[in-house]
Amino acid sequence: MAGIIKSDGVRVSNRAKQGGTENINTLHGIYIAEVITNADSLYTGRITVRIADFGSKNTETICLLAVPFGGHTKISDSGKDVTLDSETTVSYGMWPQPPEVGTNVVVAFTSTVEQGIVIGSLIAKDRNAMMGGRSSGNVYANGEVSTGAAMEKNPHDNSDPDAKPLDTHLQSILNQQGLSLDYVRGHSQSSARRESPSKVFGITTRDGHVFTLDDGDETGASKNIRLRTKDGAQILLDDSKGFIFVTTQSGDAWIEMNNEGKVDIYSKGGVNVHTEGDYNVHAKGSINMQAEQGVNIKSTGGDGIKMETTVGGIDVYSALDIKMESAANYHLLVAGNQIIKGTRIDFNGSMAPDSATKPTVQNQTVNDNVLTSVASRVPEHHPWLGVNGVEEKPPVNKGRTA
Amino acid sequence: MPVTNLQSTIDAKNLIDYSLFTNMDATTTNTLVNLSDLEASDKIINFKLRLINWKGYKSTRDGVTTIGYKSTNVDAIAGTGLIESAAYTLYIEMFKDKERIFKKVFPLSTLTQSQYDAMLSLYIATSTFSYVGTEDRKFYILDDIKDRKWDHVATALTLSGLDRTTRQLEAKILMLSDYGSYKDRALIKEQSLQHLIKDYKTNQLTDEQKTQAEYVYYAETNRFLTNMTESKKRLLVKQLS
Repeated sequence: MAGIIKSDGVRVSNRAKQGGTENINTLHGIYIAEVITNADSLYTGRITVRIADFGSKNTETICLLAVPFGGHTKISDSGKDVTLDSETTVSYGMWPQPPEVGTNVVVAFTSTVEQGIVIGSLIAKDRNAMMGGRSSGNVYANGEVSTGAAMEKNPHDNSDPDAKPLDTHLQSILNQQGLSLDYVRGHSQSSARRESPSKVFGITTRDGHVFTLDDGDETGASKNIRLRTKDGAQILLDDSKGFIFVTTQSGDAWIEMNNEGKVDIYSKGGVNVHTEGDYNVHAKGSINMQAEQGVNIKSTGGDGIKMETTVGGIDVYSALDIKMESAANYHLLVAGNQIIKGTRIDFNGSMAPDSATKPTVQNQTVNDNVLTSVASRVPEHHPWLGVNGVEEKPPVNKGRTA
Repeated sequence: MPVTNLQSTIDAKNLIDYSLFTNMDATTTNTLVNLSDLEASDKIINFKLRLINWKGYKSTRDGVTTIGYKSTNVDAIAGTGLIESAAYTLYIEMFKDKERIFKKVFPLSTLTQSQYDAMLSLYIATSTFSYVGTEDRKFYILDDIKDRKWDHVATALTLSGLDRTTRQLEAKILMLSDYGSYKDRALIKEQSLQHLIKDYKTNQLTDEQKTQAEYVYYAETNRFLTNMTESKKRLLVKQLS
């Protein structure tokens, strides 16, 4: 074990000598420690802890971090060409955030290595309500206790046993998303303190990202998998109510698919679809379209535009003039009577008919492929300049440390 | 395996060829006019309005409180709410003030209408025409403006990472007089009132915002928002009678 750690470049400075017997660590075993510092100059997640059992002297010790799984390919297999991906090592596995300063952790010492290993955190009494899935609950708001996004209970609070401070950040997001009264899409019910033994498996980050797998409460509610960012972007797969829900941080775009087979899509900013192939819509019911500004349809292919009914008629009503224009001939063929009625009917009269207005094309200057379209926005294969959220700060991470 | 990094300069590798696109109005794109004779077109004002959208009650974003067409006028913010026509008047006042400054500081004495509109829009939004983009990737465009390298300027606007969609639309105006679809102010108002109803119902407004929303909704539609108390209704009728 010690040899493997050393070969990874982690400094395990000394063989243990506390007991005076060479190479024997008389303090080997499991200890409870308190985190003093969680920053690590080696970026391996080492944690400085204080172990009360070690006495008052030299009580702060730097410990290695053990993760549930993970590793790297063999260092001895790496090649001499440092620029080639095929000649270096690959690391993989689970990477946790270190426990906060003040957290109690479990540290193990082996019989031969001086450096301890943090193998886990201890859950403090009444300090895990936000674990599992940052569940909502009873909160103090507007001078009373009501249901809202909840923080951890203040340890100095000896009044209401369950009420906690309001998580103002998450609550404001739920309000913005319109989900403040929705106890599935908005508020999470997944908490480590909902029942015991817990049905919740969850990972939450220090700042508030959440990944929860909840087997549901005793009534069968909240059986779901939730992936939510601190600012409210979310994917929710809910078995209790039978739907999949995806939303943005603002709630200005969301998609929901439910067990009845319905798909609902909402977009405040516009829905833009571009397919290199056909775009097929087939409804066994009706196709209903309405636009509050206008409807533009344009065909640029030789097939033109064809409309047919096989049973009913075609009705066209215009609140203003109807203008039809053809660059070639105009054919009007009816099997029955042709009925035209108007205040005045001009055939080749002195008054020239107005030209029809064509749909306005819009330039797609962020595109490489579709350059103009009646669509205001035509997404393309990436790299597509039309995307709005761009990050221009290049990624940085440490390579070799001192 | 080629690896490329984001570049902050415009050259042959990233320059957009605007001759491939459709010029919507050759006159406004090509005819040079003395700067002193130019004025913002109705199209650019509509472009700005439909991007901003009217809001009858105050709201705060990134620490800045605004009302109407994103006006920071303190009296309007502290007032009873801002109906669309009043918000429009305030916006035009601000717009014209900025336009006067723009004319004084812009480095060229002649521009086409579309160049003028696009550069004015940029200036109103960012208060500069020296550069566009984020702190991590700035495109310095002043020299290109002075040299009338408009395709370079438009490409920089298109590649800009800050408020990207708006900059890209300004680039289309600049090069192609493509102002997008005109949106009537009546429709802007109608759609904003729909959002107001939703915001009011979903509990996300402060009491002050609610009072402004109630006022504006009644002033614009002569109808009350649902769940208003009778006393509030009577007060509104009195205020607006």
